[in-house]
Amino acid sequence: MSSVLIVFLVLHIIFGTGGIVLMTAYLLLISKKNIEIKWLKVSSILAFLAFLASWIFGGFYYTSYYGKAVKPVILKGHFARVHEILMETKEHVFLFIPFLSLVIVAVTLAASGDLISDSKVKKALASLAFVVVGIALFILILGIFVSGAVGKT
Amino acid sequence: MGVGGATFAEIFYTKFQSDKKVDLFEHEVLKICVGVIRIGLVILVFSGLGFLVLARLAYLGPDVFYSSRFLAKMTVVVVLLFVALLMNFRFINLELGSSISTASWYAAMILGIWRNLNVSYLVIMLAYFIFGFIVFLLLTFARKHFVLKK
Repeated sequence: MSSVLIVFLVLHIIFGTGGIVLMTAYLLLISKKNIEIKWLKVSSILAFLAFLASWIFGGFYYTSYYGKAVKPVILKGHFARVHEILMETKEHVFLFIPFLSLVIVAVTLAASGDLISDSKVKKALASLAFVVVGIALFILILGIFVSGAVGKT
Repeated sequence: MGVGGATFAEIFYTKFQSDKKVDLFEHEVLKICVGVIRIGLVILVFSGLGFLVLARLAYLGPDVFYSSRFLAKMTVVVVLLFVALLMNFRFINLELGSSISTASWYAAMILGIWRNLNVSYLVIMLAYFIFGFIVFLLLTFARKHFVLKK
């Protein structure tokens, strides 16, 4: 694997995990009694950008290396199911994350005035952020399992 | 950081609860402990992933990633994350949650240090469950003891 691909794989992990941390921060901020709108906007935008960056770096790594060099190794080994089930699930389920994050950003920016007074909007956004954190953690765990299937053959 | 933060959060909480109320200063002290625990959790996740990247690049594969010790440590970290969230939203009793959290921090530390641990995942999880229960009993005893003493 070239140095560029290693950097891309590491950036994919860092941005993905960073997105989870930032979305968790958003979830904690929105559940506070005294909401700080500025930090809600900052955390939601940064979380969205982090997930987007993770998608781009991961996508590049997947199309230029994983499919050609890693996937055949996994399919030949004892853990072929890891690619067939876990990676396939990861590839499709992750798509929810950037778009749901974008929804959170849009609603936070558009309804920032209502967030302090309207508890329904607040609860809906908190629930959505919790779903994003849950899906992203699930994807992270799947990524760890997929990495584990790549051994010396 | 996490183990230290969780330990001191328990010590301070037990001490502050002796008069059955937490004043503003005590609340601020506990907030600092929670902040330290959160930073510890973020460092734990990122440093853990760093080690995994190194293992992935060295093609260590299933020997590392599917080992019972690693799977147990990952389970403990996920429990830590979810208990922290559940406690934040008051979905779980604060005393039960903090006991699980403290036990999980120590379990994660022990699993990290005990490199030649060679038992199945189920045995480790059973030990973790028993350990969590003992920690809960000890902390409940400590809280009651301090309240009665005052």
